[in-house]
Amino acid sequence: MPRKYHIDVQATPNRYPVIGRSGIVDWGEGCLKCAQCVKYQCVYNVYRERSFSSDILADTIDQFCKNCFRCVQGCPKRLIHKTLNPEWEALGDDIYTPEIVSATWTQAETGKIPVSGAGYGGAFSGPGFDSMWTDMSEIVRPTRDGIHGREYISTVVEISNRPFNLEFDSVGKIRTGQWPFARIPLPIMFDFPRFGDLSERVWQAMALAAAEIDTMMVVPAEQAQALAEFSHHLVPFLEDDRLDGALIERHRMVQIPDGENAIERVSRLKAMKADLLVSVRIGAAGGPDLAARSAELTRAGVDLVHYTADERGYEAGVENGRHIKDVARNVHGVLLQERLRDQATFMVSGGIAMAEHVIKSMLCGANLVAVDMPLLVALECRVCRNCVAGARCPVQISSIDPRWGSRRIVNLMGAWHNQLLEMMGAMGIREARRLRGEQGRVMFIEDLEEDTFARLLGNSKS
Amino acid sequence: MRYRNVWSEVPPAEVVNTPSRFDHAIGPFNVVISDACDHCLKCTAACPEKVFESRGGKLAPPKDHLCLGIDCSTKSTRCVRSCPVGAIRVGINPDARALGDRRWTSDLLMSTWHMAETGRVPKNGLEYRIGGSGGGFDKLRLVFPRRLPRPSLDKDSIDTSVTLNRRNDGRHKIDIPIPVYGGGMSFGSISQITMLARIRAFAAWGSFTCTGEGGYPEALYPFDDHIITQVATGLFGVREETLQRVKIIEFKYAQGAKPGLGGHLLGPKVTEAVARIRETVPGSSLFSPFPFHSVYSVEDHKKHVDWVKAVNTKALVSVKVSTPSDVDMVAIGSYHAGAHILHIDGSYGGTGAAPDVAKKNIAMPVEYAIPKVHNFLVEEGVRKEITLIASGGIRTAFDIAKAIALGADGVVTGTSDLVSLECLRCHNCESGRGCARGIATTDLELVGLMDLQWASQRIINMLACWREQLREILYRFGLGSIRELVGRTDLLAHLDYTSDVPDDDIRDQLR
Amino acid sequence: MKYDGSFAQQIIGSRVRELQRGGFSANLKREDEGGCGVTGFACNVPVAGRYIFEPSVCMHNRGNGKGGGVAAAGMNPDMLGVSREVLDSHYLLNVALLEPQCLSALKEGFVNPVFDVAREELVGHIPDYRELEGLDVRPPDIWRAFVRVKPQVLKLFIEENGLQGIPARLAEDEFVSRNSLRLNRQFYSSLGEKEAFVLSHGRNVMIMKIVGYAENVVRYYKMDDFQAHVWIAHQRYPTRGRVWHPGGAHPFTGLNEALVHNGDFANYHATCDYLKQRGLEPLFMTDTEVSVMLFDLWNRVYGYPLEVIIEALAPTGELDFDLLPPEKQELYDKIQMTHLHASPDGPWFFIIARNITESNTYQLLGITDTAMLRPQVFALYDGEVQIGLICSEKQAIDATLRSLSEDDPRFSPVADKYWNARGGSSSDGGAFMFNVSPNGNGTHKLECFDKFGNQVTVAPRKPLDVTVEVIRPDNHESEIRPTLTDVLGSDEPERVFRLVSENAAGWDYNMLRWMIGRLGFRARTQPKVLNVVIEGLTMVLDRRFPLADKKRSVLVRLVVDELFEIFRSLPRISDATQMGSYCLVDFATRNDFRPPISVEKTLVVDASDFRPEGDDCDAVLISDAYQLGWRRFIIFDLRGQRFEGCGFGSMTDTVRIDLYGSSGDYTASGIDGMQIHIHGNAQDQIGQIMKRGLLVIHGDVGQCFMYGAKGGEVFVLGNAAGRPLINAAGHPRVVINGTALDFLAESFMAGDPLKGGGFVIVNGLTLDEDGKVIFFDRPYPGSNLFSLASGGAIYIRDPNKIIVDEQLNGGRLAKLSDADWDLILPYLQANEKHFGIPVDELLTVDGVRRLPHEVYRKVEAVPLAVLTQIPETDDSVWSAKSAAAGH
Repeated sequence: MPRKYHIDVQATPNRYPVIGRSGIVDWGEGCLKCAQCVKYQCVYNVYRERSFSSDILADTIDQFCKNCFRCVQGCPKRLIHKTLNPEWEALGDDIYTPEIVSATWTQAETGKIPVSGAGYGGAFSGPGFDSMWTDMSEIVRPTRDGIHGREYISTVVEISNRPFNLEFDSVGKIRTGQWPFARIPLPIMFDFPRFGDLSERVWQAMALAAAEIDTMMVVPAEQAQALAEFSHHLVPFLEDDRLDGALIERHRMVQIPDGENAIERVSRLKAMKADLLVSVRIGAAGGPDLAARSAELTRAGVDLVHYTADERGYEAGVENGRHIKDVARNVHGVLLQERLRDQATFMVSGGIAMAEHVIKSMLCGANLVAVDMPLLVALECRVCRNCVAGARCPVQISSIDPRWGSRRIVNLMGAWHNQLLEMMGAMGIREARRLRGEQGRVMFIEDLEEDTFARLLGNSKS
Repeated sequence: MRYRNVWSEVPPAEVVNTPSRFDHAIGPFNVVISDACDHCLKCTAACPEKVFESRGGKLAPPKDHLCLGIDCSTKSTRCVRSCPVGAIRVGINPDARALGDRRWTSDLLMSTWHMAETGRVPKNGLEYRIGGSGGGFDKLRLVFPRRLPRPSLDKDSIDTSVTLNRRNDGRHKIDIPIPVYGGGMSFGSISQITMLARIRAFAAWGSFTCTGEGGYPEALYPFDDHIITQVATGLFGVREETLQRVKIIEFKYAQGAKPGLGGHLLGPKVTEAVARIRETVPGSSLFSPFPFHSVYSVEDHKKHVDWVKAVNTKALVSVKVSTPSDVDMVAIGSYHAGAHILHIDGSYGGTGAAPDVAKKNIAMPVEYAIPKVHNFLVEEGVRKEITLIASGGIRTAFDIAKAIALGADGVVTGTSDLVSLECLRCHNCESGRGCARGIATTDLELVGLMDLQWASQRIINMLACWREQLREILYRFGLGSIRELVGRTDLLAHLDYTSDVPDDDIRDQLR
Repeated sequence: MKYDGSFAQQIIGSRVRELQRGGFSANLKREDEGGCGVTGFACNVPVAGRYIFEPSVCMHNRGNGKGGGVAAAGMNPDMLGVSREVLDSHYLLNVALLEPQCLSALKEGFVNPVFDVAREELVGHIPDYRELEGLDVRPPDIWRAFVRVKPQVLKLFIEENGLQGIPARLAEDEFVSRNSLRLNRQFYSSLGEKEAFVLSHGRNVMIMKIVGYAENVVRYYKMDDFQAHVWIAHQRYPTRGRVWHPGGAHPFTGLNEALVHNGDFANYHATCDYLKQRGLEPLFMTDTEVSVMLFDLWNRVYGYPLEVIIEALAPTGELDFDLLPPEKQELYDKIQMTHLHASPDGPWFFIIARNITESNTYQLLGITDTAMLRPQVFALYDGEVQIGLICSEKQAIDATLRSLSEDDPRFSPVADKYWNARGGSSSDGGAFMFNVSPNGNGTHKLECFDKFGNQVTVAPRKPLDVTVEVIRPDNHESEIRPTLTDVLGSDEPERVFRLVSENAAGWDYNMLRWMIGRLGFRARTQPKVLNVVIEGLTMVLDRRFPLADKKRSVLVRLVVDELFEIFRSLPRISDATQMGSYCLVDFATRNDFRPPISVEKTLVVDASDFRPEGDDCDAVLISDAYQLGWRRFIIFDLRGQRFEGCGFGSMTDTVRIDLYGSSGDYTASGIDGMQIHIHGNAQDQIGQIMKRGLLVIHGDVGQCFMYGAKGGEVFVLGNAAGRPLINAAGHPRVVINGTALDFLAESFMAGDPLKGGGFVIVNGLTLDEDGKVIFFDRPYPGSNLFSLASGGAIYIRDPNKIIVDEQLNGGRLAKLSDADWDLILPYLQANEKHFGIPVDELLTVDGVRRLPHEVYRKVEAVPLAVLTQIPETDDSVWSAKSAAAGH
């Protein structure tokens, strides 16, 4: 792999003890004090390493325990038991499940992809991204071996409004001039978190991480001012019509909200700086017009159409809003109909909580995605939403050291990058750019059910 | 326990009671004896499940995993009320809640442990048929006729055997008496005791076990006729000599646990013994590529099969693949390449370590793949000439019956064998010294946690219980042979498509 | 001059209108395929159809008889009953009639109203298809016509579609292709019944295909004598069973080209989406159709230069991209950014036959994908005639040349040059084309170029005219006879070799032929000298030495012919009256097979009629022979037979096998102790899981050489293609005198070479026709070397320090120590013995003798400490590298 695309990770410990899945209940009463106490025989040295954490005012034993149950089954007086940890069960929400939050913490800490034994232990399927499977290749379609680095798999994508085709003169010399584009090593941009215990330190951590992995981050215009040293990697979100020439000069790309005068603003911005990339953010309920609007914006020369769902990945502000994967399929389809798909760059954000969501969004039709909440979860956010209610952040994210925070985010992206490689390797896709809308490499549960159980068992009598 | 066999002999396929190797097994209930107990031992007589036993005249710690529950215990003749001093308390075991996951619920773990101990279905209400995944097998039900179709059927003579070579090509003719054989787990990823225990148990039932990728340790030689040697993408330990030893050779193209991905065995697990068998260097990590670097097409695949057929002119060839959307094309391609067995490994199984991202996202669950392949092979007119084996999420006898009714001829298991050895799916096979319970490890101290005879017998017991269940299922369907169940989707119902599906619990008496 | 694409928007716009923009229907792929046999050749003189026959037969085991097809370009007009003018100017419409009665409706709808027809016919065929072995489905009737678009129809078409100003011919091309599309839609795809479809419709290009093996196309349609400059053929291996018509068979056409394909895409769906946005919808639903649609779009509609098309299909990446000059990088970057969604994600290999009408050039083009996962061989012969060949397997090339040379003395059974393309590379771009263009005097010339336009040539040397009789040289009695008697009496094969090698430069062809002929004659008549002649001639065949104005391909041909004649004259196993140390068995006498008796030592197998695999293959025969006590084997006239040396089992140290001819895949796989000498090039998957023994390859070796090998000593004179020694463990010791395309020693796990582990020596050289050593500029051109290896080493001759860290994904460069040199020197000495490449010469750089560590570099595994920890991601490898760099 070319060195320039490698993401360097380094172990970056948590500030707070992590919340484990289960807890050890240890009754001291009735203990025989036998010489062969199972606690000494623990394979993971859990009992030797436990301590009292002054941060959480609790025993750290559950952090170390790996649930082998040997102490539970070995104590002659049966004084040791295990239970589910209620604090763990209370983590996050239905999208940022306790499993996802814990896994994100681990990745931000180690930079490594989660590996475990004993197969899959989850639900058969679920809503949203859990209702699709990526395809793999076998025998007739070879693949490469993801993170084992056997062959280079590129995750590079470009953001740009591209020509439909190239033009050459009659002696074969290219006539098409260079168009403005931004190239990032991952199909992932950063978007500002919807909520959180944000502070200058947190913004700095995120911007530093964006710079380190050479991606870009959408930030409110006022933050762009404060973070001027990272301007190459920042995309100021210009909410109002005020145009600050100096600000625009500093940046490769800017973002504006969609609105009646959006197209006009795009041309004004492009007039100010010819090679400026302009992104339009479509928030809240895109509804059925979203796809047509995306086409319109692309036709008007917008370089990046950014659709934002709510932080759970559903269309915001509507009842029964669609999941972003369905939004992406819809937009992709309309852009194809309009023959604009190869010009447009379409990005979705909201609800991208795991590496697999990146690939699945792209297979459904997005060119790339933006992440928001995982940036905070990497900083130990518990998605408790205390901050939304005005209460104190249990892990005081606002007080982090920006360099620590940046390393955590870089670690998470490093781990995600390797997971992208794994999945792309399995699919036999060598270029992330080829993932866009490649619906031949994805299986949707509705199709599989229709082909299988609905067909075979749909009419069976009870 | 009666230990009659030396390790190199195939043990008999008989149930022998084989309790947990730990101080106490985990069950759904907790039986607590308070200090008030005066060892009158009245409880030992009151309990039909032998929860209470005396040891040296005193009451031994209760085997509460056998307890039938609170309702039972509070009946007038049972333990709680028979205790003169009121020292017995029966409650829900809190440990049970911390066990298991959606696919292998704590009920399923405990009921499998029960089968491995006793060879019988648990009586205490534990769910023993399905897990809690909310889809696939867990939403399929067997629909038994309201009345017995063939009451005259002799349950004990119901045929559960499967033919592995359905081509008339002069190669070995092999039938296995149970519709299941052991899937590949390599030496190095599991201990030699685990490996031998599985081999001996399946051999006891006249079936086979696959070596997995890690070569062919000498300790396996006595069981040559019950071993499938695997040719996997790393080609570790594959030699002409090992290919010529066996009756079945399995090409592993992919595995459900990590479809489309290669594997690695970390340096610390590459001990002297592992390295010798795999013909590598101790301490040096080993990598398996994906896919076979010599096979990039159906045509290469045929060439590959021709190669082992040239090396062993009698052996059957099994092709193990996972379940991409074109698995039906892969299947027919393997048929044309000359395979005898097509083994499809769905994406929800697996025992070895795999990236979590690969476990549920890549390739389809086997429940979809089985009918897809079966029906396609039928359409192509070649179904009768190839044996279709399914794996990847087969946990119970009911899963087996459902897989066969969907179109498979038989199944391959892996995880359930380990669960019968008291694996509790903590998912930490790869951390530190390996499996803390001594199953999937090569750490000498941890390996010592398990005894070969004990382990073999546990699996024999589980297989015995499965066969009895399968016979009961077939009996209720009025089928004299498991071959008649293949592709009978009319005997299944899916909860999403049919309302009012009757309970298929075979613990209930026939009406 | 090429059309510049200026009307692309109008053409595409009108296509889209015709497609109605309606539904972006689901992109259905009807079937998967992957394994196929593809072959093609281009020749400066027209060649008859029967010569595409032999290579097709040779590739049977790459197909399954469920689809075959051939295409021809640059045809002889006499064969078609039209004038040269009509052939060049008219569109040749070939329509497959699955239901013959639909012809009148078809003509009524799509021919009569729009075309002027110069000639039409129903293509003749043999009366009963069942006469042909392996043909189970009746091939379609073919209606053929030579047409031009009616002028008023064309005028209307131009006006309706806003194509005013476009060259009329381009508009006519577009009309023809659209008309066929409509025809196919009505008679093929929209109906439940499939009645007819257009096979081809280009100018001086023709496609025919059937459900069956490709050679039966030639037989059934009686094209044995049909002549064309360019031929391609395809054996298909579709997986789906019941195929009743050849709609999915290859080749497919755009307009003036025919494309065959070996491979399969991962991104079929997105590629279809790309095409649909440009008004193109696949009707036959295979990868191949999509490929040719891309080619035609980029070539004819957008007017892209061929280099751009190749780059769009197989993008240049990694190190190769960095090695391109800046202006190419800029161009390629633009191509990749705009075309990546349409670039087929491999593995694939295309062979295209086409007519470049603007320059009256017929072209044969082969393109391989970046990962180089499909086998491919190119060959060129430049003698009295010129022929270029592209095949998926070398034996198909050999078969073509053999059958050509048997009938026409201007051809040679041996080409001057054989090579592999390096996909997506900065060196050759992974594509080569053979252009047949007019000389101006009614004859044609053939030239070969790579993607970048660099010409591939062979040294200009005198071809041999085999029709000239060999005459006895004047000095026969005075010098030759005594010399021969002396040399043969010595019992030293080396002296036979020296006799030829030291004198050949001064001999003319007559003398050379005479000498080799006499050697053969002596061997056939005097059992005493049999051995010394066989071994001596084998050395002549294996080694390179000065030949002055003579071609090496001629020498090879002469020696091989003579050796085969000697072998065929040996006593047969069934012949009890004669017996010697050699014993001959062939397919006919294989059942008379028995143990060796008395003086019999060597079993000589005439492989020509044996099956390439299965119970009737020669590999199974010799493995049985081993069980009966035979230990020495010569197998000759191989035609791609596989698995030589397999199945013998362990401990075969006493066995030696010599292979002559086109040896096949999997040779020497799993051998444990024996030695195998391959006198010529070797194929794919050689030495898989090899455990112990000696393998000497006097030529190149194909893909995936020594995959999963555990040991053995191996010497390769030439190059190893892609992926040599992947996953090899234990202690293999290998000398590759050439280089490898890419992915050498990936996941090598061969321990510490200094403590008994394995290694590979790469010398990075080639020998020219006269045996002179030429070192490559880049000793290893690939982007990946020793990736993720955890043990073993590569010793590479790299005095100019060309190998860079970026090529090593996991390994690291280290200095060659004295211990390393002591370890490898004996292997280089053995290499000298096998191939005559002196160690001294290896250590000489620009004329100066250097020290070993100045010439050889060692690539070793990053210390095991890293790999013994947790490499769950490649990060550990990287951090180890940074750590190593930091210290």
